[in-house]
Amino acid sequence: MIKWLESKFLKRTLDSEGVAVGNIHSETPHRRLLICLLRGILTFLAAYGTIGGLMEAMEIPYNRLLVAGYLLFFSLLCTVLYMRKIAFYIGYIIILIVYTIELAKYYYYANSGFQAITNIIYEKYSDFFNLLSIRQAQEFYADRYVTVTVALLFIGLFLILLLNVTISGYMNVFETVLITFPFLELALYIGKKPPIIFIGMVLITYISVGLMQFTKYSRMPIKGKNTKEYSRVFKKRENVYAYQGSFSGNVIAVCVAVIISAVVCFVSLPAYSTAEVNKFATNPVRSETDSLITRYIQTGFLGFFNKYQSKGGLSSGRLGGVSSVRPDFQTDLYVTFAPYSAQTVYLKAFEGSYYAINTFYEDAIKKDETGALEYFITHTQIDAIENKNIVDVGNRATMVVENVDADFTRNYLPYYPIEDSIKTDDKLIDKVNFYNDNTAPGQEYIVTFSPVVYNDYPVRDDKNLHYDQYKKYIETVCLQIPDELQEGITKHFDEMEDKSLRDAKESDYSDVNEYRQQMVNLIYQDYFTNFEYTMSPGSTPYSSDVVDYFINESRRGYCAHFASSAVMMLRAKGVPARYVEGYCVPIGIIEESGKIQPNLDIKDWYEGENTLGTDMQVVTVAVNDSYAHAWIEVYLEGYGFVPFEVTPPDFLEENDETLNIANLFNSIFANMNLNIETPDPATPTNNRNTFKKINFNLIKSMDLTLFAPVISVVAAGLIVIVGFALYCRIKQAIIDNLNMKSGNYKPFVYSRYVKILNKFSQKKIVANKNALPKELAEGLEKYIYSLPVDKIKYDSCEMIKAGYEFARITDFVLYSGEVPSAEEMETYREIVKRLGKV
Amino acid sequence: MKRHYFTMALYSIILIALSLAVYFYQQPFLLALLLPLYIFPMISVPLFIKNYGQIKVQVYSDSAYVEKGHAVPIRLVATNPSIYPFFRTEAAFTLRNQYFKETKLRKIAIALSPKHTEKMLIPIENGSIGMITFGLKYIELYDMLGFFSYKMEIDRDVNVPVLPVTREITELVPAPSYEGEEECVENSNKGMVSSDIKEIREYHEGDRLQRIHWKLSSKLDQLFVKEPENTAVLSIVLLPEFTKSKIEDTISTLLSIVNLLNKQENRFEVCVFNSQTFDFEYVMSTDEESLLNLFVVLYYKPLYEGESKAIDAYTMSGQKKASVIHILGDKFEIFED
Repeated sequence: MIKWLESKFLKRTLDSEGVAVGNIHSETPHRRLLICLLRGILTFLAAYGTIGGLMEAMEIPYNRLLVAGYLLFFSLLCTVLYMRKIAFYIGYIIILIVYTIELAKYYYYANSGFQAITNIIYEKYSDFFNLLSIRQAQEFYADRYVTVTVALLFIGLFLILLLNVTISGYMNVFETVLITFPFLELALYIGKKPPIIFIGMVLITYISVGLMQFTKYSRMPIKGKNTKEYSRVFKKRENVYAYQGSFSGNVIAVCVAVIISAVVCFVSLPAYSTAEVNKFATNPVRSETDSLITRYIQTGFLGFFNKYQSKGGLSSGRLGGVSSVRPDFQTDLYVTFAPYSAQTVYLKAFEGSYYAINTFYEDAIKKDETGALEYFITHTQIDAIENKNIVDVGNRATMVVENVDADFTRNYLPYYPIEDSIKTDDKLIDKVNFYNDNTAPGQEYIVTFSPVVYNDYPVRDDKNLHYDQYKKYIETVCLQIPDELQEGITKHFDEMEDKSLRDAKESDYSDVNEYRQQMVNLIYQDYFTNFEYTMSPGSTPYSSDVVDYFINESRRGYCAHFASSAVMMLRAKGVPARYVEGYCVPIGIIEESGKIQPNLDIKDWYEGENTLGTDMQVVTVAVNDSYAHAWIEVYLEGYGFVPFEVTPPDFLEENDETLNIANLFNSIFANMNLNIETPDPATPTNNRNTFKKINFNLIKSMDLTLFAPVISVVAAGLIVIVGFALYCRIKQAIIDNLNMKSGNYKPFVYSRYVKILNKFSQKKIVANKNALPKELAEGLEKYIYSLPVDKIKYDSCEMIKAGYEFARITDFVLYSGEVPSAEEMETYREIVKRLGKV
Repeated sequence: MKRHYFTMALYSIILIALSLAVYFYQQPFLLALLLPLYIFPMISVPLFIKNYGQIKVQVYSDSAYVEKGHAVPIRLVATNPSIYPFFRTEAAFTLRNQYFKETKLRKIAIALSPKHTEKMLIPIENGSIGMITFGLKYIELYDMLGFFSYKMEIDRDVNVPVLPVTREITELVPAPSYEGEEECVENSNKGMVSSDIKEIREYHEGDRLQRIHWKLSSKLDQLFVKEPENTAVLSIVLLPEFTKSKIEDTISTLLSIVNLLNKQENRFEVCVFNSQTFDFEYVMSTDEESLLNLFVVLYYKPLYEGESKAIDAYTMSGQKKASVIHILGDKFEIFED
C-alpha cells in the first residue's frame, strides 16, 4: 500500500516537475544492523533503567540477572526487527501473540507479581503520607521474589515494545521520557532513590535520543530496499528528506550522551546520595501535588472526577457525585458491646427524609405546587418524638462507642436507643480496653438500647405518634418524590419483567404492613436479579438524577444507590420510607477481629433474650470506613420506622476487580475464557512477612517457574530471527531463479560478486572494498600462496583457477553486456560455491 | 550567523520549567535532567563558533548523461575536519528539468561526524528528457541545540542531460554523396586525412580527432587541427522541429538517426533552429563528447507550437545544400536538395 502510494506520488511529481528526488542514502555502508543494535542498547538502557531503578528504589526483590538479560535480548531483537518492514510487522505480531498466550498461561504469577509491586508501592506511599493501609490487592502466590520477577518479564517486554517504537521508529525524546520518567519518579517522589547507575542509564538514553532526534536523519522508518520517503515528506509537507544516518554519527551521539551523563552523575552523586525529600510540603505547589497524589491513592483515578470528596464513611445524604468509593480502611469507630445474635448490628447516624437534587435532607420539608414552604420539621424534633416511642421488647443492652475517625458531628446509635440513651460514664468507659492504646482517645459515649432479637416487633400504641405534625411528616415528607423523578420511576416499573411491583395495590392487601413489606421484598428481588453491586459505579452525569440514572441507566452502584432508589420507589408505591446511613457491624467482623473483654461482666452489658446463650461475651470491634453503609427505614403502622436491608450481596467486592487499576491483568482477562491454571484458593496470601530482601540467588534463578515464560518468549524471538533469515534466503532464491530462467544473469552475478567481495574484504584477501574482479582473483592467489600448506584445506590450484574463472565471467557479464551461455552460468554457480569455502 | 530566537525561547521555557520543578519538588532525578540542559549550551555554542568555518562541500554527477528512466547520480560530499559533531546540517538544493518550471527549494539532512567525510548519493529520478540541473544553493550548519546556524552559500549547478530512449530505424536510405563545384567528396578517405593541407588552425569543439596535428599540438601545448584543401561536403543535414508537444519523440527519432548514421559512417550535421533569433546552428556528432554537446545545444533551444517552423525557415534562408532529414515527432522526411 505504502509502495503504491509512493509510486503514485512519484508519478505525479514527475508529471508536474519532470524530476524528483529518489532514495537518498549515504555512500558509507549503512550498517543498518549495527544502527539497529545500537538502538537496541539504548532501548535496553531505558527499559532496565526505569524498571530496575524502580525495583531497587522500592527495595522489591527480583532476579536481576534474569530480568536484565531478558530485557537486553528483547531490546536487541525488537530493534533488529526494524531491519525490514515485513520483519517488523510479522515480528511484532508474533511477539504480541506469544506475549498474550504466555501472559494467560502465567497469569496468576504475573498478576500476583504486579499486585505485589503495587502493594509495596502503595505501602511506601502510605508510609510517606501517613495514610495507613490504603489497599492490599490480593496476591495468589506468596513468594514475591518469583512473582515479581515473572511480572517484570511481562512489564519489561511491554515497555520495550513501546520504547522500540519511540526510539528506533520515531526517535522522539519527549515520548521516550513520557514512557520512562513516571517509573523512576514514582520512587523518587517519596525519597526512594535507586542507585545512581540507573539514573545514568536513563540519562544516556534521553540525551542520545534527543541528539539523534535533533539531527533529523536518525529516524529509522521501517522501510524496504526500494521504499522512498515520498509519502512521509508529502504528509508532513516538508522538504527535508530523512535518511538513515551513518552508524558513526549515531555512535558519536551516544558517546556525547555517555560523557555528559557521566559528568552529571559524577557531579550530582554527593548531593544525590545525601539529599532527603522533605515529608512535609514546604510550598503550595508541592502541597497541592501531594494532595492530588493522596487523593489518587485513596480514591483512584476516577476520584479526580468526584463532585465532592469521599474517602469512605458517611456521605450524609449526598448521592451520585462520587464515581468510586475507596475506603481507607482506617478505623472509624471502636464499638464495645455484647453480641446477642448472628444478625448484623446497625449503627444509625443519619436519616434522610426530604429528597431533592441528588440529596437527602434530614430536616423534613414539604413544598406546595408553587414551591412555597408548606411544612417544616427539624430532624431533632422528629428524633425527639420517635425516642419517646421506641420499639421495646424488654431487652436491654449497653454499647460503648469510641469515635476515632468518623464524622464527629453525629452519634452512632444501635436500634433502638432508649430515651436519653446517650451518656458518658467514665467508670464504664475506663474499663473498656480499646484497640487504640497508643493513640489519643476519640469521642466516647455509652448507649443503652433495646435490641430486637427475633424480629418480634411488638405492636405499640401509636397514639403518641399521631401528633398532627408527625402524621403529616409521614404522610407528606416520607412520601415525597420530586416531580422530575416520577416519570423515571414509572418507566422502571414498566420495564421490569416482573410486573407485580407495578401492578401491586395497597387495596389488594388486607394488611397495609404486609403490603409495605411485600413492596420492599419485590424491590429487593429486582435489585438482586437485575442490578450489580460495585464500589466504582462512575459518577452520575450532571444533568441526571441519581435515582433515575441508577434504576434506568447504569443499574450498578453501592449501598447508597440501592437505598436511595428503594426509598423513592417505595414512596411511589405509597409506602412511607426514608434513607438511613451509618455503620454496620456484621457478625463476620466480630468473629474475625473482635477483641474479647474478659474483665467485663456480661451482666452489665446485656439483659434479655439472645440467640447465643451462654457464649455471650463483651467484645470490642474496630469498625473501619468500609463498613459505612446505607439502608432504608419503612414506616409500618403500629411499629414505627423499621430498618430494612435492600442492598444485594456483593460477590466481587473483595477485589473490586472492574476498575481497580492494580488489577490490570485481571481486567484484561476478565472476559476471556482461558484455560488458566487456578491456584489453590485455600492458600491466598498477602502476608507481608514473606517479604525478604533477597539479592541474586543463582539456585533460585534456576527455578523453572521463572524460566518457562522466558524460554517460551525467547524461543518465539528466535523463531522470528530464523524465520526472517529464511524469508530472505527464499526470496533471494526465487529472485535468482526467475532471473536465471529469463536469461537476466546480471543481478545474480552482481549479487554474488558483492557477496564474495565482502567476504574477501573481511578476510583481508582484498585490500579494497571496491576491488575489480581481476584484483579479487589476484588477491585470492596471493592469499593462498601466503598460507602455510597445512592450513589449506582445499585444492589451492583449483581454487586459484576458480578465482580467475569467476573474475572472467563476472567481467564478461557485468561489463561487456553480452549474455553468457547457460553452461557458463552453471559453472559460475559451482565456482561461487567453491569460493565460499575460502 | 543566524540566531534562532524561537528555539532559544523554547529551550529557556523547558529550562525554567525544570528549574521550578526542581525548586518545588526537590527531586534528584529532575536535577539530573536539568544539569545536562545547562551543560549543553556551554559546550555546544563555543565549539560550534570555532569550527563551523572548516566544512568543505563538493557536488558532482557520477555520469555525464543518463538515459530517460535512469536516475541521475548526484554526489554530495561534505567534509568535517574538526572534532565538533555537526549533528544537524542541512543542504538546500533546487532541481530543474529545462522543459519544466523550477521546483521549490529542498533540504536534506546530512550527518557530519567529526573528522569524517560524508558522501551521499542523491538519485534524481526523471520522467522525461531534458537538461537536469541540480543546484546546490547552500549548506546550513546548526549547533547542537539549534540556537545558532551558519549558512554557507555555495550556489553550484550540476547539469546532466537526459537522453531519450532510441529506437531501431532501418528504413533510412543511405544518403547519396553530393559533389559540389567548390567542394569535393572525401568518401574514399574515411580518416578525413588529405595530403593537401589548406591551413592549420586552432582546435574547435566538434573537430574530428583524426584531424588533430599531434606533433604541432605537443610542441605548442595547444591543440591544432589540419584543414584539408578539399574538405568533404556535409551530405546530410538533420533538421529537428522543436514542436513543444512532440519534442520527446522528435529528440528520440533524432538520436536514433544519429546512431544509425554513425554506425553507417555517414557524415552529417544536425541543424538546430532557434525560433527566437531565427538562427541555425550546425552541430556534428561523431563521438560521445560531440553527442553530449549536441544535446546541450538541443535542450537549451526554445520550444514552439508550429510543426514546420524549422523546415520553412531552412528553406527560406537558403542554408547549406544537402539531403535534409526533417524530423518531427517519431516521423522523419528526407528532402533532396
